[in-house]
Amino acid sequence: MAVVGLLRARRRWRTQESAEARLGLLLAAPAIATILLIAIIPLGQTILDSLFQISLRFENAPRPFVGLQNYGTLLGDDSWFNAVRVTGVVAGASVAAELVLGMMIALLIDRSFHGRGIVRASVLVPWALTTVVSAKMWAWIYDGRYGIVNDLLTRLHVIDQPIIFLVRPEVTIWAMVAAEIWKTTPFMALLLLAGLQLIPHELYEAAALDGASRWGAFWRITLPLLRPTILVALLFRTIDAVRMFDLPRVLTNGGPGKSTETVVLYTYNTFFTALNFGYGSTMAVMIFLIVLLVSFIFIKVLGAPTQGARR
Amino acid sequence: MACGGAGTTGGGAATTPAAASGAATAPAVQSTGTATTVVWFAGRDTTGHTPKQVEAFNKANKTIQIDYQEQGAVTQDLHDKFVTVAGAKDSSVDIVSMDVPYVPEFAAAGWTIAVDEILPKDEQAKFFQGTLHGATYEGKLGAVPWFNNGPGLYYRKDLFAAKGLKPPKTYDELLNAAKTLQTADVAGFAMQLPQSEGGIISWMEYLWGYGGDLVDDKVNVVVDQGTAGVDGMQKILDFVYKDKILPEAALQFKLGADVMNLFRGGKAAMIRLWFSNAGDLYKDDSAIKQEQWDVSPLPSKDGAKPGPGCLGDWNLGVSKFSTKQKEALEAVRILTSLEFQRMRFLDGGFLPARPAVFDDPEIQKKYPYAKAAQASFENLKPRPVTPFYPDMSANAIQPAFGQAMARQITPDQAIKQMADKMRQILKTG
Repeated sequence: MAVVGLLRARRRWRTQESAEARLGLLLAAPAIATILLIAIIPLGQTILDSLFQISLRFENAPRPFVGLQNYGTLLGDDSWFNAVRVTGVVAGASVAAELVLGMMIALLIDRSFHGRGIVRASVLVPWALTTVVSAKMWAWIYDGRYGIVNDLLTRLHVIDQPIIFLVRPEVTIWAMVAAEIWKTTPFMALLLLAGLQLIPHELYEAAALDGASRWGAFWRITLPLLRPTILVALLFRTIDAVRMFDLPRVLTNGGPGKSTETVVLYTYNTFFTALNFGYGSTMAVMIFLIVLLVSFIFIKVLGAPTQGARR
Repeated sequence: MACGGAGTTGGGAATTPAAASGAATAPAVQSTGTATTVVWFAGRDTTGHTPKQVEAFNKANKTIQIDYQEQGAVTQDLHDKFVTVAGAKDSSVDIVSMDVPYVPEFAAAGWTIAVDEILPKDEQAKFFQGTLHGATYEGKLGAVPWFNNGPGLYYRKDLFAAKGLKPPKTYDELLNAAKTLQTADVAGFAMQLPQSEGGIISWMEYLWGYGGDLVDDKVNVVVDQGTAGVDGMQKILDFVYKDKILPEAALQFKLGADVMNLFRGGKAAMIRLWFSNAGDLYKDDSAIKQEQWDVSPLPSKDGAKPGPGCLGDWNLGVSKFSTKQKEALEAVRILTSLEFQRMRFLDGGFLPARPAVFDDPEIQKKYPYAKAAQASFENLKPRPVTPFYPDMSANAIQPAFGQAMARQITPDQAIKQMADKMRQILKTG
């Protein structure tokens, strides 16, 4: 009897569980449908398109299935590897600088001082600006005739002839990196600040009692406990930097030559000026894979449990 | 959505003089029944004149109403949006504005229809022939020229007179005049030289000036045959780096307005620029007043006749996927008519694609540079009329030109690099 009762109870529990599961599924359905519609289906379509030769240049042009041929072309495409190199340099340099600068700003505005609210808000201004607007602004700052950088350098007698920043390949890419750092360091600082505020003050007090220096406390307490936040911040920023488009599009349009052409800018050109939708899709898929790989590496390397967490 | 524009656009039409004159002159189509609304995809008109023309059109027209939709400020935005719409075979656009290179591109892709039926041969004869040539793809008109543009040599009449100089007819005269007039504050000469369509047009005019071309009539790449391409590029490089009559900052002049601002600020003795930029010289904030400047034809290598200028007009065409092609064609016919082109020049400052507009005394009185513009328009050359051109420009010509201007590679290397890439684009389609 007891066994029957138990079974019955279990069945009831099960039906209740499945009813709950159904409700859960129902509630999640809009979200799942949205993700399917705006992410999974377009991604699938792009992967499919990358296996065809699709040129919109001529009416009724055939769209033959070419398998992996587009990927083969990509591996022999100098412009693609140039774009990968440019993207790597820009993303690597800007994210590294942003981490250091962002950390410094976060540590600074984490302390309490008079007018902290205003300082915290104003630090965010560059990040709040639309990229196209800030890119235009930097184009003016770097301008060869009227730009403020040239004006300052001339007044300080650092240079006697104005530098045309945006047409000197060895300078242009770094001018672009500087604009990117200016724009997105606040984002990094904001994330790190949020992480800093989660660290209990007692730890610093205890460390001070034990005679630890501020420097020691930073390395032994702040950095390890900030690690998950740093991971998230680096991940966000690196993915963003790999997909960089609007800054080079407005500031340099990839020039001079192709010295500032990022992978997304090259992909865009392939789609919209070469009208080559098959090959363009191939590049889009490759960018997706690169982002996936970058995320994977970050999570593997930086996401390993910290000593604190293991304990 | 189809009827939405009809009711709202007519609103303030009667209050603007432009609309009133348009209403009186636009050929009205007599018909009863409800009006058909056609959607017009246009580039941004910063002068605000085109919306007034649309009002005039809608007021005068009972059967066709235009829903005027401006796209982004950059020409490329209009191009990319139409590529998206037409690529999806979507019927939401009826009329599309087209920069010169888009006409063959859209025609070849099968996104626009031929418009020969609204422009019979005798009517075609009333357009500038170079302009019409730029709108013709494989023997058919892909669009109707709507307003015209070409370059001239703007020069400081006062400075030239003070030194007893005449406007230069040859490249050498230009160099000498620039050297004579140049001061620490005033550049001898300026034009657009960035890595962009605007920059390569400046070079293309020198390529043509030295007797070369990018492609031949059968669209074979010929830019690396002969020395014209290299000579033209070297001439410009010398202007910048050797003779130093052309400020290096020109490599950053992405907009025609950048060159114009230099000139109307009194900082340049001569500039090569589009006639469409002339309007800025009449604004109150121009440091240079009307008696101080004039425009002459572009110089050439030997001075026998003016140097070739690049065609820069805009055209109106009809989408293949429009469900109202008949009405759209009729609207294009009216918008490109003599009356509308005259009104567009008189009220908006947009130069006409029809020479007859220049005969108007009112026009000649209002625009002293009209004669020079007409002379320029009779000598215009289109960029290669092929659907491959936008791709060639962005991915072959501009990168090579940009590197040469930055002195990363020599003109020889630049021409070879662009020719190779152009052939590759033609081969792979």
